[in-house]
Amino acid sequence: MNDGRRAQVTMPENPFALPGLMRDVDPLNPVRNEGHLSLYVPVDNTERAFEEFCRQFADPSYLRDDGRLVLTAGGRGCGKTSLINRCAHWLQQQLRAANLIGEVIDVTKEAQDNESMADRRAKACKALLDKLYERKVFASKLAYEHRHSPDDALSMLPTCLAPDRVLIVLLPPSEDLTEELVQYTADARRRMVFFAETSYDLPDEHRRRMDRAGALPPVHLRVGRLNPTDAGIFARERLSSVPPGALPPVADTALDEFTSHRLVPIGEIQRLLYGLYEQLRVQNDRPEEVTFHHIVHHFLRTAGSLLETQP
Amino acid sequence: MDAEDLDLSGEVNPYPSSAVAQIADAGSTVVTIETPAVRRAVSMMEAYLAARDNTDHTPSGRVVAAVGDYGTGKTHLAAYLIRYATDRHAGAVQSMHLNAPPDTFVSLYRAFADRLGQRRELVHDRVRRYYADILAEELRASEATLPVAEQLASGALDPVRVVDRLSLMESEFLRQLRDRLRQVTDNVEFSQALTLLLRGGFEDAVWEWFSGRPPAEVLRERGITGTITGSESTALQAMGVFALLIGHGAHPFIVVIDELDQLLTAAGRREDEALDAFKEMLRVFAASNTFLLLAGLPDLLSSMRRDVRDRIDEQIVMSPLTAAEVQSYVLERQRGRLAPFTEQTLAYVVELANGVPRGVISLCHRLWRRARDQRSTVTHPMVRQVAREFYDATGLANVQGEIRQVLVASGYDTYVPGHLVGGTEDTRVDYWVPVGSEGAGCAILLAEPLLDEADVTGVQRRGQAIRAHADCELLLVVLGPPPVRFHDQLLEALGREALAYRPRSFVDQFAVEFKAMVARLEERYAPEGPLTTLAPQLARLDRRQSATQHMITLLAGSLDDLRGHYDQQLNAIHRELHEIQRGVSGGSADAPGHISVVTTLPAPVVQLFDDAFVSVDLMTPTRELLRRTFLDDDSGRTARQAVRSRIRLSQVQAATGITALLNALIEAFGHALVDWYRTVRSAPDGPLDVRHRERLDDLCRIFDAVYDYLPLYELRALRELVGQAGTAQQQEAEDVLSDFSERVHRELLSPFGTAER
Repeated sequence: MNDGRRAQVTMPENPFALPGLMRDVDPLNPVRNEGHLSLYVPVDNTERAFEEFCRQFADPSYLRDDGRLVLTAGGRGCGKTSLINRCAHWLQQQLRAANLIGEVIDVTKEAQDNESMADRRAKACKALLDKLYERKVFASKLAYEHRHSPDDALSMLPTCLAPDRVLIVLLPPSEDLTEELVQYTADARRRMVFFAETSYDLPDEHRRRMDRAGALPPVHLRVGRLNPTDAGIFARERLSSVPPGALPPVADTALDEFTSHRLVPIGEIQRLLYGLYEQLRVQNDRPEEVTFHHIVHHFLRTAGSLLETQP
Repeated sequence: MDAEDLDLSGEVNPYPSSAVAQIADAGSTVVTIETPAVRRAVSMMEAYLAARDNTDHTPSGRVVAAVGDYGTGKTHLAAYLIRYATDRHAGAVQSMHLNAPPDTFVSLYRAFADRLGQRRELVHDRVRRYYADILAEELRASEATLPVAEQLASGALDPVRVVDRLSLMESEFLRQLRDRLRQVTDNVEFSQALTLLLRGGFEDAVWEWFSGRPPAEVLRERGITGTITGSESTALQAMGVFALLIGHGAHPFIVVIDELDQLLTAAGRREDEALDAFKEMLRVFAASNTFLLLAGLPDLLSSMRRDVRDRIDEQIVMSPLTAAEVQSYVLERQRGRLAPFTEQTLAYVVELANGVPRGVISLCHRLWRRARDQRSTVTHPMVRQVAREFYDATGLANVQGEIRQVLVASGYDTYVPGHLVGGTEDTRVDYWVPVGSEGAGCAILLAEPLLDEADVTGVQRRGQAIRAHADCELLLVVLGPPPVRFHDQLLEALGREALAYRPRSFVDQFAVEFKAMVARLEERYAPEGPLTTLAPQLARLDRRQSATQHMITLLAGSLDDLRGHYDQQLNAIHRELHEIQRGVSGGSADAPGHISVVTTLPAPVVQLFDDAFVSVDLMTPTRELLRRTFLDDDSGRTARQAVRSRIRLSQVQAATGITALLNALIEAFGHALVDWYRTVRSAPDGPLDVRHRERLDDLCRIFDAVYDYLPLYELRALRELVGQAGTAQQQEAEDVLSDFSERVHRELLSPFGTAER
């Protein structure tokens, strides 16, 4: 075996690459890959938000009679979608205990930011019904036949499902269309749980209207920026799976120093460390540990690459 | 205005033929005469630029008004100021020139938005700069990210890409951007719309809204509900917002609103609300680091409310040119030579043009040409003669038409043309309008240019005779402005200042004058009897009706103007397209490149050349095809398919090149014939010299030889592009060109009775 082959064989995996995902910015999704469950790290309030969700759905049997909207709010890169995926997965399991079958339908990519609310709702609704049809979960096709008319289709939907079937629908991000959330709250009828997300603050007026729009008030979850030690915790957790000596650890306070003084979301750290370890794992002479200097150097080099490729 | 004209003889007339400034004039041929008005304007600009360079954050905005009659150089001044600022700031100046429509501020905004829409990057850059500043502030907080902050602040990094590539918290920074823009623009909807420009997919919707359309659904759902052009106030507010946005940029921002008087005085219907908004706009501009130049006729300022006028920092009255200034101008234009002018003749030019730059330059242009044609210097009689021709160009018939139009519109269709007020010839007036009683009335006297004592004396005598025979309000309408030195004489003889005819404003000015004359007579001859008490009301009703009729006429006139304007633009576009096409074939900057090269040849020959150029067009249907690609019908679709499938083919491109060569050949042939013809004409009358005849034979043979040498078969590659019709047209065109030189030869020789070749 020559040196090149040996190098290939011994090259460690990037601990910040997520199993089954092709991009460094894709969120954790245990619904698709159960292995992701062990990768959640309690940072930026996500753990508390998840606990709040579990509390709200500890006994999900009320979903037989009512639907509910779960709204996750927080800035871009703060882990909203990862939290939603975790909640959806957990709810699916929890429903089983209540003798219900949870069907997770992801329509997050079905509507664009720059479309009107009516168009977005129509597209999301049609995609939902198409996917349900594809999975053959309809007891009656009436709702499917009305899939081009969101009002009709969504109102008929509960009656077209088997009585033990609960839909867990992941909606397209609403961003600043907070009015849309009021509509989705009303759309979440019995045996339907809608997950929505927004990066924008919800005006009080909208929050009040959402509370009144559905049979049950929405569940509000919030994630935010990293706390001072969160980035370090995150890095340690990820690196814990690395065989000793294969890759250098991050020095104790290196990330704390990097994230203090400004708004840093977990997405930024994930991407930064992914890129940094992507280089470390292929280079022969690795440092003993990743210091503040290494992190800054990598950050500046990434930014510098944008400078070089300015249009 | 300052582009030099190439004379057909090849000599360059140093004076522009059309002394109408364009804001785009920027060539090295531009000459600006430093009048007191120019110096004041420059000092205002200097103060503005100095304040901008100052970093103490004091608003550097300036609002300057430049007023003066037509042709006094307002637009030239605006262009000069923009050039001046551009030179001072090494090109980094943003500017916008608007012609105020005779309409509402909404129309003005539409023009503004239209210009802005053509330069979207002005707005986008500014929004990105704010975004970069916000991001830089955030990244400066950490030593680790400080270098990136500095690169963002200096503009070296694009903030949108930085946020995206480094996965920074975009939503938070966009929120801060919206808040910052709200502070800057003081407008919630604009801050939202401008922020949306940084989010993909909203640009078109936002720019449609900026252009004055109602907000699209995606904007309404995000809180943008108003329409900018919904009222004059919102339109003006929007202009202020953009001034704030762009004016806060690193570069000076100059906005010129030309012909503002048209907008402010149009039918006197400026509502207080709109004027309040205009006043506020002036305040915002001043506070926004923008240099705003308002230009208009002298009544621009008087037509403004005092409180609005007070918002103007500096009022500049365009000064007439002095003889010394014109002399320096001539020396500069003629590279230090005064001939064919003299100091005296130039002083006379200035006097006859009343120092109005456009008049002076136009006269210089004509006089220079006349002197060259006559191979003489410019003399006083020549100046007078040229001035007479220049001012007479309008023609009395046109002026009479406009006078009748106003009289009829005012309800006085009882006017009497050519009336002898006192029964004698010297009391003849061009129009007599009986008003009041006891033979009173308004007299309108029309005169050709009053350029010397004899002209003035004649008018003086007639004026005195008319006024001696009847109680009348007498108005003298004269073609061209009478020299200042005759003003007192005329005033004494006529009782009021003469009204100089100006093509664009005469109808309005005459209507105002006439109305005032009638009002004075009505006052003197108040009606009596049973209807006396009702007279004021009847008079008011009458005036209202007259005003309505006048308004209708004005509207009709405006539509005509508009149509004329668009026709002119269309013609200009046609001309430019023609030029471009010929320019490609001409290949050199000094070739005129169109049919005008042969206009000195006999008319039948010119026609042959025109046919030849048209034939080349027919042979190469590319232009027609590209035109069709933009049609929204089946032929458009077919054309697009044809273009997609064939435009990249080398045969098509080769054919297009051959077209250019063919055009060049025809033009070169035309040039050669022009030279030949000039030589022939300069020869003594009589039969055509053998030498000339042989030369013409040679020219035609050369054309034939080169034409035959052109691989015209390549043009067939273009035939299918436009279908069967293309084939037929091409054949027809080839027929025209195949014996082109033969027919040209025949036509050129026919006057000499020997047409055979």
